[in-house]
Amino acid sequence: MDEFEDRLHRRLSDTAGAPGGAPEIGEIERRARRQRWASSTLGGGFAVAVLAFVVVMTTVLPLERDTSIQLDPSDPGVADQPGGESSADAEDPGPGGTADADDRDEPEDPADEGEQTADGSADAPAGPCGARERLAMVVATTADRLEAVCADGDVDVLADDVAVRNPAMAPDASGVVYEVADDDGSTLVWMDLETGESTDLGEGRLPAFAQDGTLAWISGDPASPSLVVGRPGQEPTSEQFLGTMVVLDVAWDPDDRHVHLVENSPGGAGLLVFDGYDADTSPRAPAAPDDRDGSRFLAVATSEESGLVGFVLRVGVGDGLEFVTAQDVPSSDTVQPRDRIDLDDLDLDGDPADPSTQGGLWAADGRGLRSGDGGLSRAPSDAGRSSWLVGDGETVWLVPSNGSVSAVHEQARGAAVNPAMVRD
Amino acid sequence: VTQLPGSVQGRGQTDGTTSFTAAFEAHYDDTVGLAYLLCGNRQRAEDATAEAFAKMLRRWSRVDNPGAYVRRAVVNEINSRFRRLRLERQQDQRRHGDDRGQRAHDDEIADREAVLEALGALPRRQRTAVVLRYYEQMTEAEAADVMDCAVGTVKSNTARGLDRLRVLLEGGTNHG
Repeated sequence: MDEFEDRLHRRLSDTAGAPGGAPEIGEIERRARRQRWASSTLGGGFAVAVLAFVVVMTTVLPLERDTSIQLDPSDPGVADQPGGESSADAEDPGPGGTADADDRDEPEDPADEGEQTADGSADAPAGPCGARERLAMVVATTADRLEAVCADGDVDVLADDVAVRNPAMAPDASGVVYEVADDDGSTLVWMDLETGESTDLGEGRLPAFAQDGTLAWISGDPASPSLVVGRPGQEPTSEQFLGTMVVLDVAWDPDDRHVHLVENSPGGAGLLVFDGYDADTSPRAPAAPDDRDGSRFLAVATSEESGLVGFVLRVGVGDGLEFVTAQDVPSSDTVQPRDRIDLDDLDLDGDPADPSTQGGLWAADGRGLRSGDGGLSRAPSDAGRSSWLVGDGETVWLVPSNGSVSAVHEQARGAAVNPAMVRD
Repeated sequence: VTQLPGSVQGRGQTDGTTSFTAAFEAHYDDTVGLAYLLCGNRQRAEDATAEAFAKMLRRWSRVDNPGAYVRRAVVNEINSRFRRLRLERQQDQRRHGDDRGQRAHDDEIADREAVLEALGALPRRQRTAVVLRYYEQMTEAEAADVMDCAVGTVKSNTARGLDRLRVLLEGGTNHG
């Protein structure tokens, strides 16, 4: 410790000071009982709702796989969860947060990380970052948290202690769809960012919004998936069965009609481009650029503003990773690179939770986010620069089309930029 | 202090005799101090601490390290409420602005206010890292465990936080 650090320790200790007196243990017990009560009420209600939903679906629609998205709050999948927790699987928010046998005789507590006040009442959720326009991006972390990164660099926790991944934000930033994984697969959850209410959308993964609000996702058993397209609250407009395909990533083309699907099946095409509105049209399978043995697509992302699609590629057997941008992929036989960036020079020093200190770093996915001393903000659309967020399951990478590559979150299972963030 | 029922005897403590009451008495003050430095409001710090201890009481039968548990729980509690608390703190600061001149003669109080103000100016992760490292005197690995992040993230946040505090508290230059 240097002298400043010594002084800081003393000043912090002086400032922390002596508390005015501990509450009686009885007060702690009352709070614990109240937490239990909340747990029983909310958890039990949610369980009953889920059970009723399952009964209805299995008796009324025994032969049809449900792929519809219901966002009606009266839907039994809707749970009123002030803290934004979305799953009945919410677990101990404290240390050692793994469930064990002791948990099984106690209802889980969806309100554990909620905005419960001292008197036990629940605050009306104000939405993350105070205003929709100040939300920069949503990140699903490997620490089982869904976090809202605000324009000023602050982080609000949207959901905690659920295995979240692959968030996708609605174009108007009214909500976010994300995956919650459990032993039986993945469920898609819609979180209304104004109210904090969460809605269980049923099984599914890899959600992707088009700019017109249409959602594409992968549904069904992972062994026999489907690509489903639909608008929230309505029946799906298209469902295309994918056989035994192993789907890695999904993104809309900037034309808002075609859906890019990256798959990793043995002998598979790697990249397939579907018509999102016509299930009868066979998908195209553009080849990787400079196709070499072992080259394969790993991820796809879209930049609406620049009209580009970006792909993460493993180039050849044993070779490195590359990020390639391209235009007009739906009509191409081969992905024609516009920019090519070697991803092996990744800078691992990025700090996603504190983007306000990254001084000038361009920070997102082609919609013009940038970071400076004043926090995250949207750049003018004529800046002529574009970048993407892509993930490899552990890190979300910032991949600018003409700049250095950086990690913007080292422990993320996916991130989504707020398309409705206010421009400077 | 009233005694808890025998059912709250700790399981994980080595001799099985450490009671929740003992853990409460041992860790309450430090936990409130930690929460206070993180949120800047004594009443909310005490409230968050009480919530953290209540959570620990619910899980008491499987808590092996009460101090570590409650520190992490209170950091989660503060951070999950962070936005609301920060806004409320700003409102409090505005409301209290009028009487600052009357209290400025008290160097000790002024210094505490300066420390809180400087901490409040840091992004959440920097503040958490600095407080855990220099108030709780945790190692980087311990702080990383509480913050659910990599040791490297603690290092970078601590370094940035220190640089910023150096400027805010002592008018130093930013080393970054």
